[in-house]
Amino acid sequence: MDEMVRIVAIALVLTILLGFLRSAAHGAFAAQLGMGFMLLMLAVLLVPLRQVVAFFVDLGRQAEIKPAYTSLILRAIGIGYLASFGAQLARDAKEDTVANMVEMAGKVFILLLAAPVVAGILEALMGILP
Amino acid sequence: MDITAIYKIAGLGIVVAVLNIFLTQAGKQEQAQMLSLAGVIIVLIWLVQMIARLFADVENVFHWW
Repeated sequence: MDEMVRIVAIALVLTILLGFLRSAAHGAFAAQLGMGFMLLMLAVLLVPLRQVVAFFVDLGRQAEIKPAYTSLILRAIGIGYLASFGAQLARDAKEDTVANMVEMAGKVFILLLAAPVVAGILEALMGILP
Repeated sequence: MDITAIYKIAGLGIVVAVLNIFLTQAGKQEQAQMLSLAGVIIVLIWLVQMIARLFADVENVFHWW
């Protein structure tokens, strides 16, 4: 709760500063300030996220899921986290092409991670079918 | 939470914007351009360090060892 109040307060201050910088200076400073804010927020949010990840890893261990699968899901989440960060930064600077490409790269890498699982599912299906 | 980095960037941006206005009014367009370029590069160096730290943290949280 305390953290949330602080985050909203920083966001308010940042909004005003960004509005000033966008009108007074070139767009580059505003984009960079937005980037810095986003970096700070992602770094701050990693702390609770770490606890959530630990909780889910523990849950998976209790359900006796193979550790390879939980690690796969976590990696996919990490790639999504980084991809959304990069894409949002580019979109903030009004570079939609770069943003779309970053999102595309995220999708491709998640697909690459998921390929062995798809193969495993198909193999299991082959085992079930007579 | 280390907010000082954000305020450092905002402060530099405001100072550069004000100096830019002065230089433009004095008719020194080239210096104004160079000043804002220098400011952007300085902020970029800070940001690159922050990004490197963030990537290391993300790898740490999502177990990419």
